[in-house]
Amino acid sequence: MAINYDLKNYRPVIGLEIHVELKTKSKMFCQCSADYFGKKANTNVCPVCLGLPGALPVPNKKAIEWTILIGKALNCKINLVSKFDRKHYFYPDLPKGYQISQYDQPFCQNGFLDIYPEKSDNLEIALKERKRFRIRRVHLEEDTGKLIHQGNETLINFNRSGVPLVEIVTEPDFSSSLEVKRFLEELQIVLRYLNVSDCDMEKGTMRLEPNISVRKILNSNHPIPSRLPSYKVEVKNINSFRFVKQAIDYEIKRQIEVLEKGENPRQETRGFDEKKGITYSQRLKEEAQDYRYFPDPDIPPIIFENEDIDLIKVPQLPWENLINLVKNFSLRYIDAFILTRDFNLLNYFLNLTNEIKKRRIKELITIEDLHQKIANLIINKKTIIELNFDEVINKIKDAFIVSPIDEGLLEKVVKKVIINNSKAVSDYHSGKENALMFLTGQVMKETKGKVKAIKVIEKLKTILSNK
Amino acid sequence: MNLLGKSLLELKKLVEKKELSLEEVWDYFLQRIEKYNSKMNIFLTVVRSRKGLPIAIKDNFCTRGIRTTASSKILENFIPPYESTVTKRLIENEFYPIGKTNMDAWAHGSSTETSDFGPTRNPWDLSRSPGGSSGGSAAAIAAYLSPAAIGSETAGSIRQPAAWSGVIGLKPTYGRVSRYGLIAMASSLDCPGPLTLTVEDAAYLLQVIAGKDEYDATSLSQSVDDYLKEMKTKKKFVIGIADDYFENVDEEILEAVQKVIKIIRNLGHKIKKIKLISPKYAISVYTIIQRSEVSSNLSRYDGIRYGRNRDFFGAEAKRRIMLGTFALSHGYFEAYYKKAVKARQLIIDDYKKVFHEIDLIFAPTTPVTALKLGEFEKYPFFGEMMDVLNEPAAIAGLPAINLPIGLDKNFMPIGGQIIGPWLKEADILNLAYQIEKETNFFNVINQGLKKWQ
Amino acid sequence: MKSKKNKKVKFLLSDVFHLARLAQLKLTDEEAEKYRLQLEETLNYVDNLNELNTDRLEEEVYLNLKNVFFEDGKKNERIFNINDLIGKKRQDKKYFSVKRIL
Ligand SMILES: [Mg+2]
Ligand SMILES: [Zn+2]
Repeated sequence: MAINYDLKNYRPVIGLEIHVELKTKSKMFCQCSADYFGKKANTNVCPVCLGLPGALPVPNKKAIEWTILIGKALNCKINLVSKFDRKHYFYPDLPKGYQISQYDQPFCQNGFLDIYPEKSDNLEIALKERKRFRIRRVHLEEDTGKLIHQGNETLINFNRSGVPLVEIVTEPDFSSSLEVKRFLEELQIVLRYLNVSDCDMEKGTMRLEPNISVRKILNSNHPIPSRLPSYKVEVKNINSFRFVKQAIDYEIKRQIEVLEKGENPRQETRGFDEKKGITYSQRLKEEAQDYRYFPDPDIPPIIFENEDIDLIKVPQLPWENLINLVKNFSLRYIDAFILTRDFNLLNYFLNLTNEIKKRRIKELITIEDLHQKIANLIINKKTIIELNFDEVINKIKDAFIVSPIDEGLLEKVVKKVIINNSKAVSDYHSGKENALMFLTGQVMKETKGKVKAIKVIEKLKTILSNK
Repeated sequence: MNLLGKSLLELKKLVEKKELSLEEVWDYFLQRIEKYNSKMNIFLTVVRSRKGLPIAIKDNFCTRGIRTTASSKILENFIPPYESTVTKRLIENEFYPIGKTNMDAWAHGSSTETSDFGPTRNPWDLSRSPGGSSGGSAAAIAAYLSPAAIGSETAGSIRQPAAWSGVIGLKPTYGRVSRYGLIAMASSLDCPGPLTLTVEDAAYLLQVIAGKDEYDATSLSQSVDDYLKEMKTKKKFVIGIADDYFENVDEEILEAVQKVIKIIRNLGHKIKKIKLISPKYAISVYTIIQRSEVSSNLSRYDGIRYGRNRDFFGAEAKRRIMLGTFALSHGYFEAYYKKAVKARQLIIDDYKKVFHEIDLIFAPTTPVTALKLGEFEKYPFFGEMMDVLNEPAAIAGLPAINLPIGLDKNFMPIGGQIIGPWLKEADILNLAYQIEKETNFFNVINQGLKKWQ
Repeated sequence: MKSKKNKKVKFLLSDVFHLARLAQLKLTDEEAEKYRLQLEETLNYVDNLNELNTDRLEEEVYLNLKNVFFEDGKKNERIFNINDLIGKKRQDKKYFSVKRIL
């Protein structure tokens, strides 16, 4: 969908509400399994998560610890005194007529997440360019059941009911869909680093609800008025980062069109149609929801000491590793960035370099830019991380250790091939890429495959360009 | 052997000594139920367990495989797939339900008249109410259709029907007995407890049902006293008397209470005047908190997973839901719910202060004796007024016991209560036992049983 | 709904219907009027709480009741067959259902 609107006079204001299911073993308030995926309908239930008369909730300790872990990773203030509240509304997937959630004393408040640029010449510039997005709160609640609309009926499956659900709410700090997308990617990576959630958008273990409004500004130089727009449009049912970008872009365009007509967009909740790439009106928020929050009398307060919070340890996060890789491993920023995107890749890199150091493999250790070379190897062929260290170390030796004899031999062969294939050489010079591949093949044949193709290409290129 | 009036522990001993078989016990009580239940509408469901000793269970405790209605049309056909902790512990100790007793629907009331299945009648006078909401459980004991019963109290629902039906009713400290499987009325107040013919039975049953439960986060982990043992070591107490608890109380009740106070003094205890916050504030605190929690707790009844839909709520439930919804609603939460929570703390602090000076409090249980059926409808929040002497202790979570202390001119029982500090059930039972030994409760219980030979 | 100090609380019929909607209760006009009066009456009574000074009160933890949790992965002893709940009549059905809502 082409975006074609003039942002000169408008500034989008976007905030996010993100729900993440925790991958604890048990549900939030009972011992049913939190892993409901693929189970027969309504077989993963008990009196508690089905809301039977007389059943009572008891909170899962790990879910609370993990919520605090998330809060700490997002630089939040951790409330030492917190509680669970009841949030009332009626819906068939909500068995008790209220959701156990947190209202005015969530576990975590007032944090932020820094987003680093994907590319940068060096760390200093990257640190200057990084953007900070504020986190308003991180709280813990319980998931609802699942609805299936079929014929004249809506069917309800309560297997998911009561799974621990963490809600992360940002301040309305985003002004473009791209910023949102980058933030979400980073958040997903952080949560996967913490190993507390799968964050799978398709399976619904991560769910996004952007709220979008647009405010008029006099011109791009004029200071932005501090007051937020008087309305907010919430978009629901988005199940990929790509769609969240589409939905936001569509909304910005739609709202600007309304504003251009001199009208005010309506405060409402809209759904997202993935096929058409548009949002559509779901329900108006004329009569504001009255959730009648009050402290759940079934659950005693949660009161921590500072020492309890200190015991919850945050592992090294992506940006810390990024800085480490650039500073201590001398990796290029862009490669360090890519490696830290995936916890598994990063770990493999760190363990492998450590292993090489431990084994004191002289011929490797002496290679000047060994770390960068290994990084390239992993980034170019991610499946490499399935190999064990012996296998991969041999691969590295093959690729990077070049004996001087080989070097001399190779040059001889290359020169010979160039002389014997003048047609291909002139093809190469006139820009035909295939010619290079042909020449490479010839050299490989002559050297009986003892030399790597990459090396051959490198050599060919140097000699051909010297001509 | 004539079993009439035998306490639960007496029956237990007879069975243990093989002077009586469980078969005989069950035959005896089932026959009595057959004969008398229809006159009083005490049991909604009769359970022929024929195992262990029989005990009557208020119909708001979930009993696996046994219909549990909370006396509401919504749950008329509800058969719980799980067992409440209280009934589970009873069964583990070889006490099996003989029936589920009638109550005010959802425990909303003090007369058992709001039951969707008709009122229970007072065994002392069938034209009167047995009190409520545990009216069925109290009447079951008074008419000896069961040797003992389990009820639940939110604010008065054990003590008041015990007073009106002339039996013993013990409301433990909030959290001492698990609420798991008890159909919630007001979660921060609800408290299961026994109704019995003797203080010993009450102590014994409390022993069985009390203690930490992993399924109730609000159950207390403090260790459970050996009530039977501690009850019998004659202790001397300082007993507090608060003037506010004697206001607007019928003359005959006051006389009976004064008589007991004299006996207590003669037993060697000290009597001391105390000043407590007026119970009229407790009524307000109770009304707001209870209805707020009720409106929330009754949200789960949507008819989707079990039971009937919300159209089947009775007038009383609807009335309470409406007020509770208001007290929690946007813009009023601070002025009502929050204010009530703070006032509740004030009342708790008040008791804390007073229990530095005294050990126990003695007071009437109710301002009047059992009313005629139908009287309740005439007054606004009449239940709250009837329970005015029970609400302060209930909202503070304190333990208390009702004891029969006489009869009025209509030959209706009068109740007096002992209120104690948190977790001091043993002391309450100790004094109750001393009074029982001294007075045999003025023969009230035996006189009541005479009608139901 | 107005409640100023020493002033009687007043309810409109529309307030009553609004509350009923929140609580998902259907009321007849007659019931609504009855509840309107009862709400006013009750709220005027509980107004006596304003006579109490609760400004400097600290809420306490009741009998050390705090931090009650269960350990993740604890054995589930409470799982049950929903057919026990919905009855034999519908034993073929695996789902609960309502009239289509979307
Ligand atoms: Mg949420
Ligand atoms: Zn469960």
